[in-house]
Amino acid sequence: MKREGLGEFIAFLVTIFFITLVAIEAFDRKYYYSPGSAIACMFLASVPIIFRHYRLIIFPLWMAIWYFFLLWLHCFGILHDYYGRIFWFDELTHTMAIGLLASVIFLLLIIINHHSRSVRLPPLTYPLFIIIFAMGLGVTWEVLEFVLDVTIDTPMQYSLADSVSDMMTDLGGGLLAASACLIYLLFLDPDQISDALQADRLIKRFQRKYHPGT
Amino acid sequence: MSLSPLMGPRLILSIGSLLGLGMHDGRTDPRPSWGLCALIATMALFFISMKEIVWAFLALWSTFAMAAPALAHRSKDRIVPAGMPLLVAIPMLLFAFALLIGADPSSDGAWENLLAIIAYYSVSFLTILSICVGTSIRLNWALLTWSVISLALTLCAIAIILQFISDHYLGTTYLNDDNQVAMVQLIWAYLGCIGIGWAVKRYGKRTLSIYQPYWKKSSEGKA
Repeated sequence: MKREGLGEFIAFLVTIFFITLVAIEAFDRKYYYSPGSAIACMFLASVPIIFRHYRLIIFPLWMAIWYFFLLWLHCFGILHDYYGRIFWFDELTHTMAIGLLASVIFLLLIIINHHSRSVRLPPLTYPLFIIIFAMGLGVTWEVLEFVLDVTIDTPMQYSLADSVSDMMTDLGGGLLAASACLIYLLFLDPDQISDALQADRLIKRFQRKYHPGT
Repeated sequence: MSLSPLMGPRLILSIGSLLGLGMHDGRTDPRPSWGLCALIATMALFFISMKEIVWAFLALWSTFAMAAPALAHRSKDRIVPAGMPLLVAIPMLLFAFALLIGADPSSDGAWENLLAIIAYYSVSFLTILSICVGTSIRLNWALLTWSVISLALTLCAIAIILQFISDHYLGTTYLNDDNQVAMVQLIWAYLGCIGIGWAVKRYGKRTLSIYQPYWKKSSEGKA
């Protein structure tokens, strides 16, 4: 476990280094949207590290690396305008992001199923919940993009085709991730997965806040 | 009609009596549910004939969601109680009535979107309830509420995708290649479904507790 923590920290440092390079290059080009995005991504990159530090939840190393790579890819794509120039770049980042979110949802559902007395999810219902929650988050992102475009004039939604293709990608990414999670469940016991996440502290906090006395 | 303070509880009471339709002593009578399933399927055909793709999609989805547990278990008794499909059918009937009296619905109009969000929410609730009827799943209120809201948003996103595909390949003009029209639909659904979900969780718990045996399954075999 310590080795995984070290690996995650090294991956975090590498990500910060590469995102900093992107930010510096963007400053050089006087393209100020990109460094803003890079700084936001640096803060976001620290989330798994903070969760691990406070022992709230320990995400698998592959998931953390996937997350870091995605943040860097997003910053890099904005700087070089890949979102505008390469038609499949947006689809790629959306699919990867929704796949990652779907995996996080899968782990959270396993934790809820493991720790809550009032919830029992049969394995075959996981894909359904993964897809609907992933799509819910995908729709939230589209609404946020539209609101930001209208209020502070950001260039996030190019056209109707772009928004629809984002939603189709979210649906496709959710379906892919749900299938992968189902295969994952064939080889690993949900209780083992839940134990590896070490989310006891997070659950205790949650129970203290929402179900005091239990 | 004056807005008296008693109107809220009365409304909830009347919805409560609607929800109890086809339920006697904790048992479900499947006949009215199948009747409503046939009605919704017929409405799907009507909406297809009127080229109302979103409503046709919702009606077909509801029909499938209702029939799925019965088909999976090969038992006609495995169906949601009639009150739920009735709630699903009400916005559909209202929309069908509006079409019949000659209303010309637009994709970003207020009444159209208001009816649509009620339909998205009720169809989602019906779907989750059908899953509860057809599987051994057990849910709590929080997970149930968020599942219904997320499914409603998913249905809205699928409806937008369908309208877009229809515009491109069948030459219809639902969205007119205008991003704003689609986003207005999405924002209506987003705010509306979260609002309805909150209101249901806050005020409708007691009314909906009639269905609790389906998702709580505290006494197995009762539902």
